[in-house]
Amino acid sequence: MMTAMTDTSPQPAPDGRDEAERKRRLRQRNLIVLALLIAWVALIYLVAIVRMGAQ
Amino acid sequence: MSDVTMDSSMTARGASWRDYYELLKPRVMTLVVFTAIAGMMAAPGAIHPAVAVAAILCVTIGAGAAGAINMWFERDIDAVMARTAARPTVQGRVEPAEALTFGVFLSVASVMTMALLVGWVAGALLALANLFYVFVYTIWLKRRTPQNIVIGGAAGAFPPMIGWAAVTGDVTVVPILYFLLIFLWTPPHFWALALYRRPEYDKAGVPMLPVVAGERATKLQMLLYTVALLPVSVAPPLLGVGGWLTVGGGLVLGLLFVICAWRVWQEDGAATGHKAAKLMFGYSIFYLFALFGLIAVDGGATGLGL
Repeated sequence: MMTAMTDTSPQPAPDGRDEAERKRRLRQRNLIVLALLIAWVALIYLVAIVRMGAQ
Repeated sequence: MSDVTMDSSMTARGASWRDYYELLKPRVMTLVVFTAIAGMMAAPGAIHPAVAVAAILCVTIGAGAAGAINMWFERDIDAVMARTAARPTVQGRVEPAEALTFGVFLSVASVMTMALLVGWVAGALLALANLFYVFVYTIWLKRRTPQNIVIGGAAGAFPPMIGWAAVTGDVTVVPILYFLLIFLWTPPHFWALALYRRPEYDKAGVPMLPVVAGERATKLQMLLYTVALLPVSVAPPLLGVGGWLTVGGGLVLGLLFVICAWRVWQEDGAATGHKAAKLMFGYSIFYLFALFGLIAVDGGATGLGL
């Protein structure tokens, strides 16, 4: 029985179209992670100000 | 765990943001967020909008993170069931280790953020809900006992309590009643689904009640749970949270839920294609949305002195 995690058999090399698509998706993901991190920092900043104002 | 077939071209292209979004189980998340907001609105006291947004985001991401860990662990049985066979972990669009890392990271981040920005009680409840869903329901109970969703249902019952705790910083009898509402709602909701998806659960080896005890015993249990829901749904106004809207609406919605369960009890599923069970599953979702909608409106109005 072989699971996806233990499957070490060689995968076929991605062709040019797959490679371009992989890069596009990776860039898209990175931009989303960046946006989420900025939003998270902004949220912490905003709530910290609100909490300080309440004290 | 059994084999999980992967399309090499899918892994070569990598996962898109939509695959990660799917890992968060957005449909389940909607219900979680809605009940959390209802708990927040019904709670006495005020919360700054920025803190409320932070609390809602934390509940949303925390619930989604637990869903991602669940998908990582259940990818073998998900592959067997038609309902879950298109999940990104089954299709190979997201590597199992990636799904696990994603879920654990978001879970820890949401709990920490909730504790720091909103309050330690809300943070602790969110952590408890996530730990319960992953360890008690997903890993321990689901594949072992037909009571899996009865006990495991507690995980989904936490959100209104978390919403309440975000406002008040504590847990009183009323949020425990909201918890009880979802706790009692979960078994008939899932068993309605399990009745018409029984062959799939059977094939996947998940001991859902219809698989283990048969349809008749399941339908009786469903009826009993819907009847038990009735007094619980009208109890919060008796304790001063909410008013006639929750009492009246809760009774009407609850009676319709009992009627659904009665029709399922009388139905010969094999002959009708489980029409009544399918209807009850759909109604159960409407029931919870409507009831917590009433709780939010009524509780909010009470809080404003209306």
